[in-house]
Amino acid sequence: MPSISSRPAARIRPGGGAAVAGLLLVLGLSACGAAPADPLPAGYGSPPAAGSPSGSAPAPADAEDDAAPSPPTSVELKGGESAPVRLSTVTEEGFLGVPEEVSELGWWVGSSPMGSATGTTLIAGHVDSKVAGLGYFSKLSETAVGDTVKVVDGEGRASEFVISEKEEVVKAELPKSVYDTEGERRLALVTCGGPFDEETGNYRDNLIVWATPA
Amino acid sequence: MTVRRMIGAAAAVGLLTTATLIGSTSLAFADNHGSGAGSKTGWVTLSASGSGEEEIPAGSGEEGTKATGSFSFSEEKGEMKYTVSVTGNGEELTAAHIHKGEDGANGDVVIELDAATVNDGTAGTVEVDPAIISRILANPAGYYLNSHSESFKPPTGVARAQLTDDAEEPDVINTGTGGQAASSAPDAALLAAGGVLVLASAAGATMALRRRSGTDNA
Repeated sequence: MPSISSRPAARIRPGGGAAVAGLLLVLGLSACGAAPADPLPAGYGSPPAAGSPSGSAPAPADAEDDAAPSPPTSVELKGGESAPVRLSTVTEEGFLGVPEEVSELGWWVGSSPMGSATGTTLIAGHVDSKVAGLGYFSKLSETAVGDTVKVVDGEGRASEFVISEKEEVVKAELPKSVYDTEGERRLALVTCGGPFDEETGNYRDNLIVWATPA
Repeated sequence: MTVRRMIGAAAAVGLLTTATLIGSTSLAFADNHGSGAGSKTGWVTLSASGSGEEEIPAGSGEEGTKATGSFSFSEEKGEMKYTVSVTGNGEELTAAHIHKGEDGANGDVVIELDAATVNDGTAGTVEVDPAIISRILANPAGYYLNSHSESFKPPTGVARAQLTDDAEEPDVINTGTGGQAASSAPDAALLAAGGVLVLASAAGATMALRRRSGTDNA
């Protein structure tokens, strides 16, 4: 077993894994290190020492944790099942890289996480796909102003939003407010809409469903 | 700068305390939060997006892999909350870290992530020296996420992603390629015509019933 640095700079607390397994992994990982006498490979450096994981389940949200940011992990539209939410970033082509699986959604990592006091949490998903048929967000067209949307985050907290507005815009004219992180606290659920172009295999518009905290 | 902030109570007190305790580096922290922030529960969220192609030396990473992460730091609490997703990798990850190093350069590990949590793509929390958090927030681009497996050990890795407080905005959100939603959507004109027919039929049936039952006075 490799030894561990004596300076406890970092202590891992897994959000959802088994504590014992986590501890064993952590100890194993400090082989990042090897023995102190052995110089570490370049680019690996001195891993900070890991202490004891503090629990096997997500830490209960105390008053301070209420404000801790966390990515959304699932969305539930009124009257429907929930859909898992993954991390999404921009592809080399400039598209938002939403999950190919049409039953999953993508949260743009540059937008406000859950727990934020300000800004937009941008979650997008497929309305459909050529190979997989209708997606979870095909249900967005059936929503109405006043409907509730439940979002669960990585801390296990559930937040309720109420749909305040629906708008359909040409994709190229997607409002910058969907990327806003400073203004009004909102949820932007985005999918495709409008006429479908069989030649290009794309929809003309984006359907945006705006929701505010309940 | 699009650094996000979560502002709790006692902002001014927290800011002053933080500035006093950690000296000049706290100024960058305060700048990240903007005016009136730096509260006791102030958090700053960074993100990372990269791939196996970004590993150093070039060509040493796992081809076709992507790494994405969201990292929220509280200097006051000495904590980092993280969610990391690595996709396209052929093996389970054995380790994941935040390293110190600019784009194109390898560097030492400063924060160790839980490999099981990263493999699962779930949320984790790690306690971090506030001084390290302060340095990361002052220069996010000087740090990167790296992930490792049995076949992609240090100094290289499976996929690497530089931290940023200014994630690239997408040009387009393309979320439909099938056309089924367009064809399955009810046509408003047809719905209206159908509604008229239903109403007319109902009215006719009502009149017929009234005539049969003798309640029609006409």
